[in-house]
Amino acid sequence: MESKNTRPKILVFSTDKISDPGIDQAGLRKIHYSPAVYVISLPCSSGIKPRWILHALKQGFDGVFIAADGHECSYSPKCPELTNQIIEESQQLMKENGISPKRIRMAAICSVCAEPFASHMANFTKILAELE
Amino acid sequence: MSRIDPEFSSEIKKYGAKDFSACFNCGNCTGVCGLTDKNANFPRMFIRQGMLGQKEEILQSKELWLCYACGDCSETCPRQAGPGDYMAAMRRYAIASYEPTGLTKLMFKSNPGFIVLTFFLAILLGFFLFTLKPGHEVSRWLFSILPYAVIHNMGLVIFSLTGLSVAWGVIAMTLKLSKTVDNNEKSKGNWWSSLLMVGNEIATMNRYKTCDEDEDSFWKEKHWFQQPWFVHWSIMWGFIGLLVATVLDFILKDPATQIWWPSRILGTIAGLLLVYGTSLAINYRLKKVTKAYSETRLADWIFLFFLWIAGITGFWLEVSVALNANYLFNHIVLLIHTIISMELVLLFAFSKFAHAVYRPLALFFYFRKGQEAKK
Amino acid sequence: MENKQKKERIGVYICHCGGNISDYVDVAQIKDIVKKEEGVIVSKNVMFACADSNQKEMIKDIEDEKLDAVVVASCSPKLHLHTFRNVALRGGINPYNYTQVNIREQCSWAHSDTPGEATVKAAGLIRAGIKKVSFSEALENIEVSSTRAVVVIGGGISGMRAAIDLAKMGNQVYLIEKEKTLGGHVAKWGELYITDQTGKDIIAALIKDIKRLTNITVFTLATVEKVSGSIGNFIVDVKIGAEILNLKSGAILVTTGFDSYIPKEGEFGYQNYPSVIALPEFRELIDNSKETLVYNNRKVNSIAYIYCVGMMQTKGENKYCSRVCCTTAIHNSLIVHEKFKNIQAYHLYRDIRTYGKQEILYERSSKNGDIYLKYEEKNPPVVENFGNKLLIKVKDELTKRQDMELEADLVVLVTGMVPRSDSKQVSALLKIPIGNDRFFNEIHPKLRPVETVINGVFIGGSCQGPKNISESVQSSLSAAVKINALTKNPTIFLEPIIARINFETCVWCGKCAEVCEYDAIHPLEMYGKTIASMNEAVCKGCGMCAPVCPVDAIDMAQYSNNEIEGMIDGFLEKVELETGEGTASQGEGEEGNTMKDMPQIWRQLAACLEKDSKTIPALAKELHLNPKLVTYHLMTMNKYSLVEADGLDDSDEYYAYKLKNLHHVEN
Ligand SMILES: Cc1cc2nc3c(=O)[nH]c(=O)nc-3n(C[C@H](O)[C@H](O)[C@H](O)COP(=O)(O)OP(=O)(O)OC[C@H]3O[C@@H](n4cnc5c(N)ncnc54)[C@H](O)[C@@H]3O)c2cc1C
Ligand code: SF4
Ligand code: SF4
Ligand code: SF4
Ligand code: SF4
Repeated sequence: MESKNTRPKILVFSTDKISDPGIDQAGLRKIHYSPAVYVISLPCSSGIKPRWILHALKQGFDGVFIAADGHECSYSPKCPELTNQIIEESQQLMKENGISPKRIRMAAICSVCAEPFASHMANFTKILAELE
Repeated sequence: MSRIDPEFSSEIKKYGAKDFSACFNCGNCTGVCGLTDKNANFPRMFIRQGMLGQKEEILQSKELWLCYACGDCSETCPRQAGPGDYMAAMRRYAIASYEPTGLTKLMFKSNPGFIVLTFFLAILLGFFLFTLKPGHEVSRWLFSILPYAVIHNMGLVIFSLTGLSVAWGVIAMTLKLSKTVDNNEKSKGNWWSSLLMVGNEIATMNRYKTCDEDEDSFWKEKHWFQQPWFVHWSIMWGFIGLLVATVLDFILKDPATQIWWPSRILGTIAGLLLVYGTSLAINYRLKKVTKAYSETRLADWIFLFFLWIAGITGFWLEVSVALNANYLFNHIVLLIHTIISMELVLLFAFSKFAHAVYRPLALFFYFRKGQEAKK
Repeated sequence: MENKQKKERIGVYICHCGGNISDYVDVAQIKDIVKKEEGVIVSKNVMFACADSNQKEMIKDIEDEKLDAVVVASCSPKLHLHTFRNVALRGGINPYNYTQVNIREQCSWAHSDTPGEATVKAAGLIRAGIKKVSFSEALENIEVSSTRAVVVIGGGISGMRAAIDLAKMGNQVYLIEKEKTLGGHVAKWGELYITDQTGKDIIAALIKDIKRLTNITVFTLATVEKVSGSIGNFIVDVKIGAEILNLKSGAILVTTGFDSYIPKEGEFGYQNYPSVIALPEFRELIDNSKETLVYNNRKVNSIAYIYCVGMMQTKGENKYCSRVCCTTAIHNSLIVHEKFKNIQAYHLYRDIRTYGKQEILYERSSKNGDIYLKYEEKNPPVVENFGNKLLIKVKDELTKRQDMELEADLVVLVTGMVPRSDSKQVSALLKIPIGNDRFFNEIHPKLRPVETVINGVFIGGSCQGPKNISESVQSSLSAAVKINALTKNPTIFLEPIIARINFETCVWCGKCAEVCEYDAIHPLEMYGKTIASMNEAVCKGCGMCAPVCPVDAIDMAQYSNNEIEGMIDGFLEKVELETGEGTASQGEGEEGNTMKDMPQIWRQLAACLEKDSKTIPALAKELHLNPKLVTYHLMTMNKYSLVEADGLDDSDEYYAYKLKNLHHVEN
């Protein structure tokens, strides 16, 4: 179990109604992903503040993943656009702090997207490991 | 481009297909039928063609004759569209269409017509036979009642008329079927092997057997000698046997006395088979044991009944000849036997009986198509 | 906001969940780690946190230890957040000073392959929960007073039926209809499936009911101009002629129905040939004809119906199936056969969707001798002129894809339902989201099918998507009941998870107001400057406004900077496990389970099954136990993958069970 020191730490922002249930599904069905993945669930991905992302990356997370609702968002059709803006702003902040913009990623995860979530985590873990 | 003809449906309903318009093309019937394969897509496609009025497609198809009317499909149809009965009706339609005189059409489409025709024929034949009775009763009474020459001449006339119709029908069918035979040389089965396969099927009814093999079928529990294929087999071979025996009798001129003559033995066995087969078939139809046996048309009844009578009376005469019995009753029985047999032969070309030529012909073309032969 | 009083007396409960958690996460160690955390007073392991006995114990702890916040680390909050919020409330703590940490779905189960790391992760998750709860604020539900009145927009059958029920339940109802008469589409038609009553009769009966109920006010030739206010207190401005009325209502039901798709010019010959008509026109034609069906002064002997016109377009904008049109066309064709004799019908369809009882109509139609031909979207039928008839060419999928042609006197284009042409305006007035199909969208099609994200605004009937009458009424009536549940209380409580604006830092740039979908933010003069102010009853708590604020003046309740950043810190704190190797005690790296924590009865059962597999009756007999008890425990063991079925016994009656994954049975 040496790997735990080398596994890249990923912070996931999920959404209460759609993507977090999707992540729960993965657990329910024992679809495994890296145990260095930590999830914070919010009402909507368009409410993520770039400063939180920067905080996470500065404090020791290797990457931030946004599990968004995409077009399924029940709050607003503008959600994907706003979430994108947040990512762009965060990448700007990251650049200023010398952090690779590859350390942030986004994908739409639905409420039954167990396998897609796990494979996103596997991919992102690989990408982050290569960045080091 | 094919023009839809909605009138055709009402035409084929007259041949006994009652419920096929309920069909919603699910294809279950084709799925359960043990005789379909990638070249033989029935009954659904036939129902389709019937609905849309594609007469030519139907008359040109060999597949129509691959069906043995086992009724598995009718049991499975979710819409109770009776695909098995439909196939039988389409074969009637086809027989009626190949045959040139229109007699078959009349008999299939109208029950009164059928009854009148058979009745009229029976009287005619009876009358004919009586006028020929010279009136002397000697030990060889059989040939004295009906002089050999009369039978011979009458037979010739009847046979040639019937034969002509059959030949016409066969040619008509051959012409239609050859239109749909695959022209790709490679995929053709050769003449000889196709003929062998037809022979094999007639001898063994192997294809028919597959109908009864269904896992949960009614027949699986039954003995082989109770199964439809065997019933069919005994009627067919019984009839063929009798025919051959009669022909041998003619050829050997002086046949009837010796019961151990091979032709007489053949006749006895064949008669028994025929009676066995027809009795069982009549019994199944009366009891409607399965869907396939539950829709019997008048034409079927008369056909089966005639075969049965011919068998029984023939057997009776066998016995009385052996015992040298000469009663009036036997004369009547002989009369009935002769009339019925002649009617059978006479109606051969114009009834369901005609499938005996059409089916092997269609099978031959089907095997010629090749793929099946390679299997 | 930065220096909020932190919680100092926190109780933490870490659940075994039977073994669902404790099999993979070393809960005992975590309990000890957590105990050392700042502010934690109580740290306990519990077998089942949700069990009644534990709930009572938690309440007792809260009272005895004067706890000011609680964390339960157990299953997903989707299951038990409300359970434990209630426990907190019963113990005297504000429910929002409770945090649930998901160490089952997102930890023990997801990482059952790496129990050691699962333990490390669980510790991080719980620490984050503690950080979050320590910054959490006590929140009160938002209270709004409510008017016992409902505005129903759209007086079709859905709106009428809902209005009647709402009135009967004691609400003042304002029914607003833009046309001259009530009834919508249904009002003009004859017999309808599936009951054969006529549309005219049904609507007449409903109008009679409405007239009898004094608490329904109907406005016809009326349109909604503006909607302001929020749940409990909407103000709906209705324009009738030149007059504008302000109606006060607690909730709004939208039942504005559908439009029928109108074929484009030339679509299957529409407008090119006069004998090509759309389904609604055909419906009127058969309703208005007697004895013979005559169209354009010519007797009709054959009809071709072309289905899915304007629907199920792979490329176009109507991707959906309108699901009403198949049955409607078939039903109309049955009426035709009944009313006028000897008409041949052809149905050119893509898929027949006569679901449920409607299937009977389809069967009846086939039996009538109607001919069905199936075409594919990529090979649509072609309609051509043919003397004084029409010729239709189609590639029939059911007949080996042959090209077929047929003659017909009349071609009926079976058109589906599309959203009302003015649905965009209605959506803008009420802020109802519009789905991909451009119909109005509910919050969740399965779980909250008639509510919209706007509190107090409900949708029913065919404005939500294609529906037949019974489905339309079902949905509008369920909305009526939901609405009544709201309006019958004089006060309505709303979740307090909303955005809050820091008046000191706000400089009113207006960016938040711009981004808010719900119009919850407005400028306000206060403390001598303009600041953003929040309408609490309107804010949905999505949080969209927070990231756009240039001075970071907006924080979401429960998701403040402190809470989120605290959680991030919590995840990252180093976890020192005593054994160094996580839950190495749990077997030898294999998928094994230890029996040491298992009930005695499990151990007995396991011992019995060690040599060979046995059935439940056999086990009960051997152990002298009640078979029910054996069943219960064996099934539980089965659930935890300790035993598995091993085929039926010789009598084919019972399953035999054998051990699975269990390598060490210690007695
Ligand atoms: C040809 C055809 C035949 C059908 N036959 C059957 C059948 O036999 N059986 C069956 O179950 N279903 C049938 N249906 C379906 C049926 O018509 C619908 O299910 C039903 O009409 C839905 O009712 P509704 O009240 O939701 O909508 P609608 O009938 O559309 O009523 C909506 C009402 O709201 C009003 N409105 C719209 N916008 C506004 C606004 N902005 N302000 C104020 N008022 C507004 C409209 O004027 C209308 O009165 C058929 C449909 C078609 C097209
Ligand atoms: S099973 Fe019946 S409904 Fe289905 S295709 Fe065959 S005949 Fe038609
Ligand atoms: S009756 Fe039997 S052989 Fe004929 S199509 Fe049906 S299943 Fe096939
Ligand atoms: S209900 Fe039938 S006609 Fe209407 S869109 Fe669906 S499949 Fe097409
Ligand atoms: S949280 Fe959402 S609804 Fe509330 S004010 Fe902000 S953007 Fe508007």
